[in-house]
Amino acid sequence: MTQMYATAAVELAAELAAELPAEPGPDPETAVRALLAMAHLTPAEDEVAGLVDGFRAARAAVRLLYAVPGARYDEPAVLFSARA
Amino acid sequence: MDAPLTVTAAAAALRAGEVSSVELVEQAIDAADRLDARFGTFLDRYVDQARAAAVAADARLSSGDPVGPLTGVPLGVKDLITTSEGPTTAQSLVHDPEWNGRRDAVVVTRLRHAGGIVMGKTTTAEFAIGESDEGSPFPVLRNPWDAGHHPGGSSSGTGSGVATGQFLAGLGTDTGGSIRIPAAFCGITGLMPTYGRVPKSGCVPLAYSMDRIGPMARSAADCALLLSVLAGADDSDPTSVREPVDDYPAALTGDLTGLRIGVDDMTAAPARGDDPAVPGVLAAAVEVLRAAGAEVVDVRLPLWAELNLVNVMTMFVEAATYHQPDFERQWTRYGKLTRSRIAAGLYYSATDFVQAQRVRRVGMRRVAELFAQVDLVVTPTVTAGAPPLVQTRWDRLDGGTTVRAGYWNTTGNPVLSVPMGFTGGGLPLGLQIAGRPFEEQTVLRAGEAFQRRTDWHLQVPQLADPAQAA
Repeated sequence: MTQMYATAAVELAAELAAELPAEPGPDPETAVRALLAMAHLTPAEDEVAGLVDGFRAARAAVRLLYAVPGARYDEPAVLFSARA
Repeated sequence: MDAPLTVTAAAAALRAGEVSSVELVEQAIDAADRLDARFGTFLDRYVDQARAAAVAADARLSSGDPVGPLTGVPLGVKDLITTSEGPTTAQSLVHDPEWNGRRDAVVVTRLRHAGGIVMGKTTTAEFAIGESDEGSPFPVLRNPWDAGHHPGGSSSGTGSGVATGQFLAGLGTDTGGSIRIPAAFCGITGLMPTYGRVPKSGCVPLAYSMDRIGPMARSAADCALLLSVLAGADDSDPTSVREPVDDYPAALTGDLTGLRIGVDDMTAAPARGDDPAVPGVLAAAVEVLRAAGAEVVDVRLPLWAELNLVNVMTMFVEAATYHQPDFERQWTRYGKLTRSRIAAGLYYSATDFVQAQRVRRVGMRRVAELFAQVDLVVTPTVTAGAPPLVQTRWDRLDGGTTVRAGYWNTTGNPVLSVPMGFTGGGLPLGLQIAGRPFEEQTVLRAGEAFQRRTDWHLQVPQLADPAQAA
């Protein structure tokens, strides 16, 4: 369930973000191989191909988050308390 | 007497001496003997321990001493949550089954203190996010209303177990809809409490800032009773919040006079696969709420696409962080779908992650502004019935989704899913009722008022009928 929903959520955001101005990004395959190397992961080639497709969609979608009005100066909703 | 369908009915019958805990537990064991393998409900069953606990519960009930509200009631626990009887697997070959030292999680301790009887550990998706590969030792999960369909996830076994009478209620966890989706698909009720309302220590994490533990049962009244046991901060979970715990069962008045309910029918966010029955079923459900005294207005959930994306990317990034050490060493022992989903956390930079949390803050504020206008917001839980099993396989994923749940994991609000009818194909549909943070009593009040006027939550799938199951 989560995976079906996740794919669609990324697709919808990418669709909306397509209307925003965009700078050219890194080559997806080069970027994914670098990310996998940084994480010390060595998936099979068919899985790398799937991850490259996913990366392309994710990078398109994430631009939507930088266009949300009001987010520029807001405090992130991360959790921290000085009381351990 | 006929086996009680709900926890509240069972608890009343136990106190009145109309049924014993031994009888309830034996009925649950019999149902599991017949149906567990068929629907893939349990990963492990604790039959001997449950029988012993039932005998002890009957002794307490007959003593006349005060007893806890769940005394003698059979329950299921999702296998992300640790119990003392046996290992916790997270339905994975990777997870250390001895994690948390086979101690009861805080929520399990609370259930037992209230007298509940743990019947076993229920199935999930691998680490609540993936899917087991064919040939794995884990059961195939099936929907009690149509065994060719998925029961919903990731609290699948708790959903199918309640729907088929293998226990009366249980625990699920919810990071992107994992309580509410199986509740909707299995035709039962599920509550995702406010983030921090219920301590989650002793629960295998999926995404630290979004995970919640909550009750799944037939009715909103049952969920109210279980929440009264589960709620309240614990020092072992630094994210649990010290807010007053309300008397949830006492809030169930059956009357919604004075409440303003916003309805978002989700037509502004259509999805491939939306079921044509949903608009009519939703409209009828809204009329029931109106008849109970509520004022109803149309609303649109703000930042729909953005907050769903924040849910997904936060989930993936936090999951990738949790799994990194095991990923390096045991990549191929994860299910293929599981590892591809978790690896998606690598796509996002640290900057992206913090930006997502800024958007989350904006979204929380916008949703709070909406809740200044209305007391509750209702939507369909999913705008379709359960998908066929074949669509949930890793190589057959359909990108189109009808799930309307993850938005609320981003914002932190409490949300109840109650059955509201069926698709034309006979699969259950759920109504989501969301409220302000820490106002579970209002959410439950609306759900219970709805269920006083409908019987969707009491309908039992024919496949669970012994005559049909033979």
